[in-house]
Amino acid sequence: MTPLKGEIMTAEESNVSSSEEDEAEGGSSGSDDGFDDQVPDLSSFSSGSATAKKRKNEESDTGASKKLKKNTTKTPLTADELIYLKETENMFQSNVFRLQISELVNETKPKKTYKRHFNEWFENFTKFLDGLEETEEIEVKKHIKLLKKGGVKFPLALPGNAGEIKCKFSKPVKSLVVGSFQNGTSLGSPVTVDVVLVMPKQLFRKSDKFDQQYLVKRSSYLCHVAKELQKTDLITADTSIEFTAKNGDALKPHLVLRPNEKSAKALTVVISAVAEAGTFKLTQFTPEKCNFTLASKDELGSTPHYNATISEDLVLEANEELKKSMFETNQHLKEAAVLLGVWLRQRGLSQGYGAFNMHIVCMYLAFMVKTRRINLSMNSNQIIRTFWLDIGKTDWTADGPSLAKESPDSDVPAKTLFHGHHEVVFVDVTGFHNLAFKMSWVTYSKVKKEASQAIHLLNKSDSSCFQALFLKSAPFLHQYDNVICFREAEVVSRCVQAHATQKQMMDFCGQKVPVFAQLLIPLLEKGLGKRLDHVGINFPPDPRWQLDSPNPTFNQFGEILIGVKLNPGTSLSVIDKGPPSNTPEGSEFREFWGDKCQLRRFKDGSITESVIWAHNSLPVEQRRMIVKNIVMYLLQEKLNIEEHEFSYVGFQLSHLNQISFAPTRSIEETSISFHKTFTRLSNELHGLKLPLEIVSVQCISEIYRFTDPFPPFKAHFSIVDNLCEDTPNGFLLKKSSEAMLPPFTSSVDLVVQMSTSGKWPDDLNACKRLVAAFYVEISKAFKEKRYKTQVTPDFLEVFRDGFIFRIFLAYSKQIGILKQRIGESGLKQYRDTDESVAIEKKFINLPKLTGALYGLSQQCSAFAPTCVLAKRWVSSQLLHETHFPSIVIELLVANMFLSSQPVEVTMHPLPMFLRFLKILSTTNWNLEPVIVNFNDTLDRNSIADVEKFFTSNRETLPPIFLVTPFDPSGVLWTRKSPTIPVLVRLARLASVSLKILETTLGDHDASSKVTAIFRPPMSVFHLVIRLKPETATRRHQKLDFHGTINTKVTSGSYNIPIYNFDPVELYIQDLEVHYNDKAIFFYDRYGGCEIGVLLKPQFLAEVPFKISSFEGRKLLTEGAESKMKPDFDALIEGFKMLGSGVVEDVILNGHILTT
Amino acid sequence: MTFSITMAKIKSRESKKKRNVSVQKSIPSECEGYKVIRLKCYEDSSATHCVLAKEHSVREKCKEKPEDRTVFLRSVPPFVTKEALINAFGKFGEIREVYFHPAPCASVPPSNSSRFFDDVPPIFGFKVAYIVFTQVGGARNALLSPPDDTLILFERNPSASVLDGWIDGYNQRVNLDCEALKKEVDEYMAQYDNSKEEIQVKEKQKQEEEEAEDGWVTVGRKTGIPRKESVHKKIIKKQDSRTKKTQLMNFYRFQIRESKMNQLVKLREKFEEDKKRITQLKESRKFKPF
Repeated sequence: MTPLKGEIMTAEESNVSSSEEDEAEGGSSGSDDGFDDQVPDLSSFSSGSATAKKRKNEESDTGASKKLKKNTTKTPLTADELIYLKETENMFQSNVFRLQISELVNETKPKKTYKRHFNEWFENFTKFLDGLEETEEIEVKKHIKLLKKGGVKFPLALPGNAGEIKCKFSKPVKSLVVGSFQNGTSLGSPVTVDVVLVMPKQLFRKSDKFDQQYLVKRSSYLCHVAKELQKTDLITADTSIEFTAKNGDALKPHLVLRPNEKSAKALTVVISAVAEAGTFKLTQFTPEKCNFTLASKDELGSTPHYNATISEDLVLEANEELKKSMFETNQHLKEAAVLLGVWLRQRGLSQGYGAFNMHIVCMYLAFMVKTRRINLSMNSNQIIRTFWLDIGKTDWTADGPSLAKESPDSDVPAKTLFHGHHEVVFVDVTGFHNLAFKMSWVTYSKVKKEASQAIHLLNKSDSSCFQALFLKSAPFLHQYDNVICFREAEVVSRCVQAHATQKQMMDFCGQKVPVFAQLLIPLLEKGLGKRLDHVGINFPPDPRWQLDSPNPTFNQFGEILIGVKLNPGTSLSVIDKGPPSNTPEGSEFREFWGDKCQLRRFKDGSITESVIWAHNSLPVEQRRMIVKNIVMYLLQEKLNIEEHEFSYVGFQLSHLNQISFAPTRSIEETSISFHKTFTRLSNELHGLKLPLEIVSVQCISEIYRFTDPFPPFKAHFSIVDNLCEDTPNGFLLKKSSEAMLPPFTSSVDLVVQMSTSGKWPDDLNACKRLVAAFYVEISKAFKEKRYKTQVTPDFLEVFRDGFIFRIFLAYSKQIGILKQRIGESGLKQYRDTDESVAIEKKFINLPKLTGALYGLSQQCSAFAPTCVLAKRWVSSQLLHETHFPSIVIELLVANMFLSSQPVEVTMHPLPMFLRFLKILSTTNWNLEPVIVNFNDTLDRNSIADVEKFFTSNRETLPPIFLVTPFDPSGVLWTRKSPTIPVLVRLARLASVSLKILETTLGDHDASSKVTAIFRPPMSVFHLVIRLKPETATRRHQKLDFHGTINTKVTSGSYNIPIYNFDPVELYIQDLEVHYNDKAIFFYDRYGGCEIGVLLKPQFLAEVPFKISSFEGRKLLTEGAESKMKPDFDALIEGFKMLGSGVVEDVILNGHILTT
Repeated sequence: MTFSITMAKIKSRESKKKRNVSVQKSIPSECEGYKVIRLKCYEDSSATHCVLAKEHSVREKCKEKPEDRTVFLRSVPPFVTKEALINAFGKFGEIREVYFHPAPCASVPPSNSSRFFDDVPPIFGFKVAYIVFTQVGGARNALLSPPDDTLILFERNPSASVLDGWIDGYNQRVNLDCEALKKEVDEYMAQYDNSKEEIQVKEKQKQEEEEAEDGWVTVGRKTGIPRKESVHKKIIKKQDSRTKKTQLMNFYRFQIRESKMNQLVKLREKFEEDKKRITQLKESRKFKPF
C-alpha cells in the first residue's frame, strides 16, 4: 500500500471511529443527563458552603422528578442551572471559556490514587530515614572517597579550604512534602513531588556559612542519603537514583527517583536537604554582606547571590507554611495557579536558571491574597486576570512586592537594600530573602510583556483566545528574529574566565552559565540600542545525571540560546547615530565602538559620532544582515568569541528569498519597480477613449503582493538567436530538437473593470466577441503610443517598461449570465456554477484580496518573504496549484500574521516560517475555521456567526474552511483543494521538516543541512515521469541551480520576449484533464524535472468486465470469468504520447505496485 | 440485412476459433457484443491499446452516420487523433469522416466555426469515436478483421511532437491577425443582432396570427415586477412581516411567561452546544497542554 493511499484509508477510518465515539458519547450522556454532573462541583466552589448545602438538599428532592423530564428541552430550569448560567454570564468570558478552563484543570490533575500510594511510600521512606545511623565526624575528602566506593560521585567542586570541612550524618529532624503536589497545583505529565529533608542544627558550626562550606556539607549529607537509599527497595526496579540541578542551580543538587509503590511509580520524587531554620542567623545573609573569607572584603564587596542561596534553605519552611495555609482551602486559587503554570510553561518561562517558576507564582498569589487584591470568593478566571493586570502594573526591578510584615523596630532589611544588589526583587515572609534572586530582569520583563499580551487577548475574547493562552506552545526559536546559539562549553567557560570579575566568579561559586548571561546581555543591549525590541535568554532544561558521573552543570550541558527580537522601525537603518563628539557620552561611544566609530555630519547639520554598517542603497533583504554583523562584531571585539564558535540562527533559509540565478536582482526591488510601472499603465488605461469607460484597473498577480518567489523583472534574459526569431509582433519560438528552450518569464495579470451598461448582449458567445473587439480597440490606442501589444481573443498583452501585462476585461453581466437558470415554476434563479465561481474569484475576489495582502506585506516586512518560503516548501513537496493553491498558502500565512498569538510577529521570515510549519502540522482543520480578518473588518458578532455556521454545517464544508472579509461563505478558495489526504500528508511532512529545522538550525553548517526539507522522496510514487531538462523552462528556479543567467535591462523599443511558455505546466494540465479519474500527478512547480504519479486505488483494483470501466485496462480471461487489470504499458505509452518532445522516460516503480 | 447474417456466421466461426486461440492468447477478441481491436502506436512499440468496436446501430438515425457504413469505437485513448484513426483503419477501406464524442451520441458533434474562438469545449480523457467509411465494405472489413490483427496508429516518423504543437500554438498567438479577428467579430455581431431582431419579428407575427385566428391574445408579463427568485422571496418576506404586525405576541400573561421560558431554553441550548464543542475538542486531545 502506498503512503497516500494509506492516509486516505486512515482518514476515513478515523472519521468513522470518531463518529462512532460521538454516538457513544451521546448515548451515555442521554442516560445521566450529562448536564447536571458538571454543575454541582463547579458551583459549590464559587459561593459560600451554606448555599451549596442548601442546593444539595434541593437537588436530592428534585432528583427523582428530573429523571422523568430529561431530554425534553422544555424542562423548567433547575436552580443549579440558573445559578450556573448566571455565574457564567457575569464572571466568565463565555460559556466555552469556562468549560475549557475546567477541562484543562481536569487534564492536569494527577490521579487520585497517586496521593494515597505516595503517602504509603512516604511512610516507608520516613521509616528508612529513621533507621539511618549517625556517622562519625570525618573530613569531607575522606567522606567523598567513601561515597565513591558506594557508587556516588560527589556533585560539587571542592573550594580551596576543603581540608577544614568536616562532615557528619545524623538523621533529619523531619522530612516534608512541599511544593505543587502538596498544594494541588501540579501541572501533570510528569507529576513531581518535592521532598525536603531538614538537617539538624547541630551538624553545622557557625563558620560553615563562609566559603561554600555549608554547600559542601549539604551535598555530602544528601549523597549519604543517596548511598543508603540505593540499597533499599524504595525505588522502582530497573530505575536508578539520579542527581538533578533544579532550576539549573548547580550548587544545590537534588536527588530524583521513582517510588516503588503501585501507581506512585509514575511519580517523580525530588529530594533535597535544607538546614533547620535557625541554624544560622538570617541577618548574616542580607545582600550587602560578604560571606567569603578567602578574599578580602574590599575586593569582593558583597556576595548577594551566595547569601541568597543559603538563606533560601533557611526560610523555606516559613514560606511553605504560608503557601499551604493559602492554598489548602481555596480551590479557585489552586486552579488559577495551575492555569498560570501552564501559561508560563507554554512560553518556556518556567524552565532553566532564574525562571519564573511555580514557587514564585504561588508566592505571588499568596501575596495578592494577603494584600486583598484577591478575595476568597473570586473564581479562577478572575484570579488569573487580576494576576496578569497586577504583573503588568507593578515593577519588581524598582519596587518589588514584599510578603514580610513591616515594622519599624525589627531588624528586617529595607527593600531598597535588595534592589541595590538584585535585578528583580520579591521579598519573602521573613523579610530576609529575595525569592527572585536568580531571576534576571530579562526574564522578568518577558513575563511582564506576556502578561499584558494575555490581558489583551482576554479582552479580545474571541473563541481562539483560550487556545492561544494555554494550549499553544511558543518554542524559543519561533519567538525571536535572530537567535545566537552557544553549544560549546569550552567557549563559554573561556569567555567567563577572561571577562568576569572575581566578585562574579566568587558570588556564583564557579557557575559559568549565569555569569555568561550577565556578561552578554548588557553588551547586546548596548550595542544594538534602538534596533532592539527585547532580548530573551533560554537556558537549557534541568540536567539529570547518574550518581556516579560528574556534575555537568558547572560548565554547560546543552545549548544556551540568546534571542533577539528586533524593532521593525529601526532595525534596518544602516547607521547608528551617536552623541556629539565633544561630550563625555561621545567619548564613551567612541571607546565602545573603537575603529568602527566615525565622525559624521548629517543633513540636519548635526555632527555626531556614528557607526556606519552598510551602504544606503542596500535592498531590505541584505539590510537584515546588519544586526548579525553588529552582533558578530561585538562578540569578537568585546568577548573574543570567533564566528565559528557560535552559530547565528536567522539566515539559514535566506538564499530562498533571493533570486538565485540573478544575484543583482531582488524580489523586493523588482516588485517595487513593478509598482511604478503598474501605476503608470493604469493611468494610461484610464485615459483611453473607449466606447465604455474603464472604472478600475487592478492587479491579481503575486508580484503585486511581493509574494512571487520568481517575479518577472524589468530586465530580460539575453535572447539566443538560434532559439528565437525576431518578428514585428514579438519573438517567436523556433522548433529545433537539440537546443534548450528559453528560460521562463511570466506576465502580470491585470483585471480591468468596465463601467456598467445595459447594452451587453444576453449571450455568452456574443459577449466574448465584444470583449475581443475591445481588446483590438485598446491595442490600437496603445499602438498609437508606440507600445508593443499582442491581441488574443481572450486577453490583451501589453509590453511596458520591460514588464508584460496581460489584460482581462470584466463586464458587469458576465457572472449573472453564467449563474442564471430558469427554475421549475418559471422563476429566474441564480445558482453558482463552476464557471461563474471561477470568474467571480478572478474578477471580484482576487483583486480585493490582492489589495489586502499587499497592505499586509507593507505592514509586516516578514510577510512576503515568509510567503515565498512557504510556497517554495509546499511546492518542493511536489504539491502544485491543483493540490494546494498558492493563494491559500498566502491566506494561511496572512492569518498567522494577523492573529499570531501566542507569539508576536517577527520581522525576519525564518521564525515565521517555523510557525507556518507548526500550524500545518498541528492544526485540526476539522475543528478550527480559518478566519483571515484583515484590518479587523469582521466584528465580534460576525465572527461568532461564522463560527456558529461552521460548527453546524461542518460536514458539508471543505476540509479547510477559510473566511475572509470579502468572502464570508468560507468556501470560495478551498472548495476543491486541498483535500484531506493532501492535508494529512502535508501535516506529516511539516512535522518532520520542523523537527529537522529545530535540531539543525543551531549547527554551523545548517544552511546546507536544512535544504533537506526541500527534497521530496520520489520512491513513494507508482510511476515517475522524467522530463527532458532542456524543455523545462523553469530549470533555473530549481534549488540546486548554481550559476547565473545573463539578464539585461530592456529599453522601450525592445521587442516582446518569449513569455509564459512552460511546456511542463502545459503537459501537467493535459495529464490532469485526461487522466483525472485514474491518477494524481505531483511535481515541483519551481523547476521540477520529475513528475510523480500515484494511481488511484479504484483504478488499481482488479474488476470484472464492464464496458464503462474498460478504459486503460486490459482484459484477461481466467477460466470462464473475464477480468480486467490496469494496463501499465498502455498507460505509460499514453503518458509518453501526450508529452512527446517533453518526456524523456517513464519509470515504473514495480515494488510499490506489488506491495 | 445480408450484412448482419454474414456477421452472425462469422461470429460463430470466430467463436470456434477463439476456443483454440484463448489458450495461447490472454486478450480475448470479443466481449459482450464488442469486438476488441488492438492498436499500436508504432510498428515496434511493445504496448497495445485495446478499444472496443461495434457496428453503429441506434434508434435515432443521423444521415452523417449511416448505420451500415459506420464503426463505433469505445475507450479510445486520449492521444489518438483523427489522422491516427484514418491511418489505422484506412486499410479496411476509404474513410469519409471520423467523429469524436465524450460519450456515445447519435448526432454529429458541433464544430468550431470560428477561427479564433473555442465555442465548443475540447474532449478530455478517454473518448468514443465513429468511423464513417465511404463504402459498406470498409466497416465490414474492420469488424471482421482477424482477432490477432494489430493496427498501427502512427508512422514511424511522427510528423510533429506535442511540444512542437505547443510551440506552434504560442507562435500563432503572437502572430494573431488583428484585422481578421475584428472582421470576424463584426460579422458575428451583425448576425447576432439580425437573428435577435428576427426572433422579435416572428413573435410579433405569431401574436398577430393568433389574434386573427382565435380573436384573443395571450397576454404575458411584460412589465412590472421581474420574475426572479430573489424578488419572489422578498415579497413573501414582506407578507410575513405584515401578518406578524397584526398579531399580538406579548399580550396575555401566558405569552409573556412563555417567551421568558423560551429565552432560558435558548440559553440552555447554547450551553449544550458549547458542551458538544468541548467534547469534540476533548476527543482530539486538545486539552493536553504539553
